Amino acid sequence: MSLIDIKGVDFAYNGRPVLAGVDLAVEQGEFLALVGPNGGGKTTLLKLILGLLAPQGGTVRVFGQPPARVRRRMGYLPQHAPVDPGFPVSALEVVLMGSLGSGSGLGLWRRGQRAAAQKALERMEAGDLAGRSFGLLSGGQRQRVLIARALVAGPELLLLDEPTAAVDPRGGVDLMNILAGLQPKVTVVLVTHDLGFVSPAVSRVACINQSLSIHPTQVINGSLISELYGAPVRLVRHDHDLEGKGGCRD
Amino acid sequence: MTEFLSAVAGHAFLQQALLAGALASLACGVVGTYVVVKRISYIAGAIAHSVLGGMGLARYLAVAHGWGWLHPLYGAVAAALVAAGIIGLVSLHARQREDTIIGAVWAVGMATGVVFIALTPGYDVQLMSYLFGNILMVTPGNLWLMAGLDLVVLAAALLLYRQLLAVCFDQEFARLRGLPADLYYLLLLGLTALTVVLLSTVVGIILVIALLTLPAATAANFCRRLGPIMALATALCLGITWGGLALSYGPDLPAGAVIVLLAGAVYLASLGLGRLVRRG
Repeated sequence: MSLIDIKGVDFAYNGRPVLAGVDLAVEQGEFLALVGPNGGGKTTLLKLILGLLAPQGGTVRVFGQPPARVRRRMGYLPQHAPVDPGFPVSALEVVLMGSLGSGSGLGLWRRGQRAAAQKALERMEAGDLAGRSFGLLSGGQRQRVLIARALVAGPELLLLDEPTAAVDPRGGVDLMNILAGLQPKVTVVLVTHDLGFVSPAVSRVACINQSLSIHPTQVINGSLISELYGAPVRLVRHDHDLEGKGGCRD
Repeated sequence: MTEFLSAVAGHAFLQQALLAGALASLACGVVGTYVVVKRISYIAGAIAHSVLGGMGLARYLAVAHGWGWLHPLYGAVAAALVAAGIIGLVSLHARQREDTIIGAVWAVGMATGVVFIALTPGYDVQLMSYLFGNILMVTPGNLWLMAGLDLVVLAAALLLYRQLLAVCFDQEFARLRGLPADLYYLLLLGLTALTVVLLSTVVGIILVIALLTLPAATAANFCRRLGPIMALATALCLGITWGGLALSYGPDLPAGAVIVLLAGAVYLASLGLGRLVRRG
């Protein structure tokens, strides 16, 4: 049994089809990237896996069950996490909020919760940020803290929506490497339109633009991308050589 | 100032006024902080103004129908909770019309109050004290009611600190975690409603919004965590209500207005001072 099992899923917003006949199986321990143009259905697919949306055709099963029932076993990083720079809260406390559930009881944070939050930060290589004000962190640091918030409850499946969107290239590469280190214990599905960050760490790429096609990461090339984006696009190859050699070529 | 201090020693009504200020400050510091960080001061304003409807109705029933036990404060509590419920449910279920509904609750509540006060037989001097507060008219009975409200508000706001923090910071995520986030949001509005009633006894319903938000906003210029902001806001609110009362006593100025002016001045000063503190 696959960890995520999606069969023949259709979804439309007000009659406008977003996903059509999507099949996808994700195995335990994978690092899958969902890429595609804006409006192509990436976030919709993620929300179907979370059970925040229900498919209009086909089935979605996570851990062999309807997704809403197993949501507590998933960690989630939304695309637009609310970032109020003035909110008076420490990075550690942001992570702690990920350990709250329906039966959390009364009072303040427990010692065990604090230890788990610190550990989650350390897994994201952000242990030193614990006492810092969340609003004063950089974009990349904030994403690490928010992913730690998704990790703190010990999810088996981590769903990340555009984790590198607000992060500079260096931070993006670092973030992908940290995420790659979470396997095989945690299965990671991430949505991105940022192909440059995908290849090195990811085990498979699912290209999605209404329908879905799977590629091993090596074969992403110009014709594939123009097929995906529906128009010829210029491919800029990133060699991830940020030290100054190489750079970009057409 | 010595004149005020000797007056306090001699007059029970001044002691009660100081006690009322202290009771209001406790809820003000804690709930005001939630209101500021959740950015719902406009909602608090609507709840505050709608309180006039409940006060007017209670006063009308007490005078015209002989329900003498029905103190306007009971009407205020009921109206504040109803207004909080309406605004909360609307903002949860029909987001795009939230501001319209807030404005409507604001004005309809006041209009209801004005009509009932007009219907109440006899010349009613109470209206001005509802609107602008009259802390010097607080009775021992009021103080007990205020203490009860304080107990409810503080117990809920502190025991559910983690849940309220999560709902203030990221309501959507809290919901995903399986937390009954909508319920906690409604609870937060309910606590805001009760705090508004507490503060309205000090400064009146029109000026409540300043006393609810300014001490917390001032404290937020100096502290970067919720707990310390609550503690400092409570202390500031106490200092401001007592200080305003003392300043107004000599020249016989309206205490509520002087308290709010003092709150505004302290906030302005904190803007400059906070910048210096952070730089240093």
